Amino acid sequence: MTTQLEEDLRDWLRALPVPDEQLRQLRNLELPARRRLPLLRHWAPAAAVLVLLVGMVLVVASRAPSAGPTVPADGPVAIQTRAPNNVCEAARISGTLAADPTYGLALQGSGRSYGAIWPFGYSARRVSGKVVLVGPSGAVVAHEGDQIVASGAAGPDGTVEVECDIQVGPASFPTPATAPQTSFAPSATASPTLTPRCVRAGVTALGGVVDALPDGWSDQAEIAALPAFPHTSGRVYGPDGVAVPPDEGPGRLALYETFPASGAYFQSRIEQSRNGGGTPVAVTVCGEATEVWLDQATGELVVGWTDRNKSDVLVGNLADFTVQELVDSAETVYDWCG
Amino acid sequence: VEIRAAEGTITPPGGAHLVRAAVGGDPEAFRQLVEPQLATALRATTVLIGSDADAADVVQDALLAAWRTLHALKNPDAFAAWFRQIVVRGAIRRARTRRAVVELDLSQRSGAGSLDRSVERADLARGFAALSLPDRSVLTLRYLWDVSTVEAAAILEIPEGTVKSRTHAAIERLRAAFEAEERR
Repeated sequence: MTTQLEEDLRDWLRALPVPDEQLRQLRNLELPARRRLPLLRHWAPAAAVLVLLVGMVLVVASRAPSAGPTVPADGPVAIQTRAPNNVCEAARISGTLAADPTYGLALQGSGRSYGAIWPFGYSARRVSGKVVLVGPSGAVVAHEGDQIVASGAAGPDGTVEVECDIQVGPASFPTPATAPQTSFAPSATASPTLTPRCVRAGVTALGGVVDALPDGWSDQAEIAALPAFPHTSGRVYGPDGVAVPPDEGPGRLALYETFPASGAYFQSRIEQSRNGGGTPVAVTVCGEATEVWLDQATGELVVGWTDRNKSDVLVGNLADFTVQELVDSAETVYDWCG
Repeated sequence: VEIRAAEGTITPPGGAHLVRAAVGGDPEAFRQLVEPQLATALRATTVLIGSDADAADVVQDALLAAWRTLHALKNPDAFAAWFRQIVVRGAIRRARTRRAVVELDLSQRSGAGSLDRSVERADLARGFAALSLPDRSVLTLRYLWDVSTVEAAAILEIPEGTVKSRTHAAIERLRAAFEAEERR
């Protein structure tokens, strides 16, 4: 039976005034371009290359006269656009501009077509049977067959989100000689994007997320504040459907964060690893010299670093990560509000 | 953890369609999904954390987390429950990691009403603020959001029986705190 106190509590909670300004800011929150998690083992070597090729297949056929019985009439072509994003991705995408029956325009490469999502203000129309990309000023900025190089990221369902710094060149730009195909060949599961590293905007770091994960992994569970380290809590990543606890081990990646910054937890993990026979490997995380502690017996990998006002420790396992891959993941921990 | 949509879910009509559109990258669909949740989410984070600024930060984090991970939601109809989970866990995490200082005097947030009613609510607010974080968490879920004990258990990662016993004990502690405030 509900008591009067419970009724009063319910009434009070539901009648709490909410500042209009906060509501307004939340309603107007700019949503970043959504990225799929990259396939780490393919992603890591590609990170050294500034320009990621979506592909270098030239669409010669697109320049040939249409032999089909139905030629679309000239006029506006629907394309997908999205709200502007304040953050310009560090990742670069490129591909050959081509007409697409679903997205209006696509970027093609390596035998695949990625439906393109453009910044708000861009449009497209068909002129003499070919689709052209029209910029916010109304001027034609690219034609079918042109190479597009831009900051961007992989979007959902095999799309690419073209964000900013859009450069357009003829079909030979960039050529395979100047921008060779990297080991990051788009595949059925890989995502054609690089995750920006060491994104640190603002003076205060908030809770972080690991962006570069093995394919199929995602955020699984929270790790509550640790009894011995009350300012340290974390999150567990793993394959979809993973049961936690345990928070660590094969099939797990645990990110621990300490506010305010303190190396105490990392030190405790170093001691634990050393006592188990672990050895250090010197690495650099976002310019900070640190160590990955590797325990060959258990496969445990531990790395720690500091990001402004917080200290992070990432714990993975050799079953899933190499030392370099753990560092790669560490460098993509970013603070989504920073 | 599969979250069962709570009774009185506030996923808007057509929510599954909006979820699919948002997964496809439509920010407007996402905004329509979360709009009915924002005020309640702010109330919840405010009473859990005790700081206006942190409360808004946590809801903002939750919005971004939901936007980024929406593709992982297995049951689009459970969006409201899923979002609640992100908000509440984020608030609890923030409350645990910040100093144990309640900056916000919740008794000043008593809403409209008669003077007697306002005084009662102010006493209730002070009593609530004096409760532990686990107590505040379970009461917020049960009485602000009206979630089932099953959903509260999933969000708080504790057994359903613990939700029931903690709710009962928290109400008794609130009663004691409330009566102590009234006697002052």
